Amino acid sequence: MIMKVTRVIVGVVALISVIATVVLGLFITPPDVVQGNLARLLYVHPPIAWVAYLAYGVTSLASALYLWRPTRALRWDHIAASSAEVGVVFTALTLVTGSIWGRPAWGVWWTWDARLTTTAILLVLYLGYLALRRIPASPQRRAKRSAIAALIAFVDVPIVHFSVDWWRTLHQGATIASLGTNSKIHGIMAWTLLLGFIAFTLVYVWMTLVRYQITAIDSQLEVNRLADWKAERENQSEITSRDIAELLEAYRLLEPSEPHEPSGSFRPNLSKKR
Amino acid sequence: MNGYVEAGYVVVLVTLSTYGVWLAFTRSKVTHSLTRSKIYRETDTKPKEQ
Repeated sequence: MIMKVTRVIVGVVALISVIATVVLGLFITPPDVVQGNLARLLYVHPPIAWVAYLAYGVTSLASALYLWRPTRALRWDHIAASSAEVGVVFTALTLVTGSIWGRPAWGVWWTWDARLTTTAILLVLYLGYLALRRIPASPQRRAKRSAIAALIAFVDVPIVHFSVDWWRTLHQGATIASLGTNSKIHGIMAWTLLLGFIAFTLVYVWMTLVRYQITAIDSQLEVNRLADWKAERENQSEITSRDIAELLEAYRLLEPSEPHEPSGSFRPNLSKKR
Repeated sequence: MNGYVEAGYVVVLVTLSTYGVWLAFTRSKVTHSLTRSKIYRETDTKPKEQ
């Protein structure tokens, strides 16, 4: 019940805040002095990229909690899987919105820039993580190997973030981190950007909550199916052994009272026993 | 505006709403499956217990 209420509230607030971000970003904020209207894309691109980082952060935290024996529980694995899937959607959107912005700004849809390349690698790593989860295995085995893979994949997140400082790139350096101290963004533009961060974070929370519920229910259904299958197998084997016993009994009754020596090699053994 | 901005917003909104609708639909579907599974298991096991 609490989960349902939380999900509904988060969903409604997320929807309202996304609509507000879109209205402010497209119609209310003024064009940028340098980039003109193109700067409007930056009200969605950095928040989406932030959500991708957040999603992978949650995935690795949940994976670490699964691997740590005192906190080991399958719910951490479900949280990790749910967050990673939402993270993949947001990483793909980061690349697409960045590309749409890059075409008019840089003149190309794609370039092998450090930030872009490491982000593409991040997407591939977590697609691999999701693929790994689909390999058939027991829930515990799948959770363990997925958790290890998630922690290895997370190494790319700080590389993506600091790539603009470590290498010479086309992508601009840290702008958001300087907000509040040495801000280069002012007034309604900064507030719209902040609202974008809140809106997409709420969208992430809602999506992860729903995905978590789906994963948990799926897991329960899998357990039920396995239990049913096991019960069915046991029933089948009971029937088979009873059938075999009946068959043997019928065979014994049908045998002639004075056994003759058959030509086959297996009959003499039975006759000797009796 | 220049078309790129609108395209960017459309891609984001369409992708997120499609994924959101798929999530809501899938959740409803698995919840229904679980309810059916529970009913089946309950009705299937009760006679055995008696």
